Amino acid sequence: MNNVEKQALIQFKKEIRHFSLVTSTNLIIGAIAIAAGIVYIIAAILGLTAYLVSPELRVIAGAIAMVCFGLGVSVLHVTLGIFRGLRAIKDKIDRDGPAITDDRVTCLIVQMTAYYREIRKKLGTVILVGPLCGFCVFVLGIVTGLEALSLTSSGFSFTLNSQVTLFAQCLTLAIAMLSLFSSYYFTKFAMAWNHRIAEIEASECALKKTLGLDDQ
Amino acid sequence: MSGRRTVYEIYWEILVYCKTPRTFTAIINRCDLNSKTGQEYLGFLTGKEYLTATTDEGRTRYVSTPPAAEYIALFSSLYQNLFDERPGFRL
Repeated sequence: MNNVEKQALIQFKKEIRHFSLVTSTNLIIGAIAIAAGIVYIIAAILGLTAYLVSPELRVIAGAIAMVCFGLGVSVLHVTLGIFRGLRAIKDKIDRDGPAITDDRVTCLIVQMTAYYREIRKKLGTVILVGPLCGFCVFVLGIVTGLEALSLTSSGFSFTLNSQVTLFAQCLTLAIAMLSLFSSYYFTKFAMAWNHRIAEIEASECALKKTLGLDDQ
Repeated sequence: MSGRRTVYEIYWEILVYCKTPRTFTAIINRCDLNSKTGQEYLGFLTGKEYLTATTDEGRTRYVSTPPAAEYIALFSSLYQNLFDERPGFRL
């Protein structure tokens, strides 16, 4: 294996490992959003949300919880779809180990390219829905922590429930931030691969010529 | 290998797999093709003399010819070069 091939393998392995990490993070965000939505809905059914300021706020929180649940399911479902294929490619890389042949490296790159073409739309969905999901978790955390809310013509003021620890609020903020970061990295990944797909399309002329198809 | 592949990727897969003699069934199974498209691809590659068919004990096997090496090498270098250039993906 020459230097170019070695470099390609190192970069390819690194990208798959990083993308796998971001995908796993997104799975966790989806699961947390589902859990947050379900917990609030169950608490509302059991009448444990009576501490909230007003019935209107309970309705709003219920609606946010349901949206949170729905977005969580969506994020989890789409990300799981991406994760399964990615995991298969990652397992193949790990299985091959360091004694990987040149053809095998190209084979894995072709597999990832074909797989990226398949998941391109799903990735677009996750990029949009992921941060929304994180934002909903954050808003649900804020709304369920409200003790008093007053709206006036000059503005609004609110008081957070003293029982709600700062830690819990920070956690929802961390989830929201994490969802933003994961969306950002998904975008970076999509940009890098879109660039590669464009390069592949541009280099098809050379392949055509080699195959004697340039006159067709 | 499945997913959305271009014809050039499928040609490359067939040629690499056929570096050692392979039957039609083995090729379509490995390259995830149906019989009809498999016949078309093998017909094209055989016509271009990148593959030759040999019959041994009543079984036809396909094997890549030396001219196929040029295509395989060009394809590999194009795809591996994709990882040389920035922007790459990193955390």
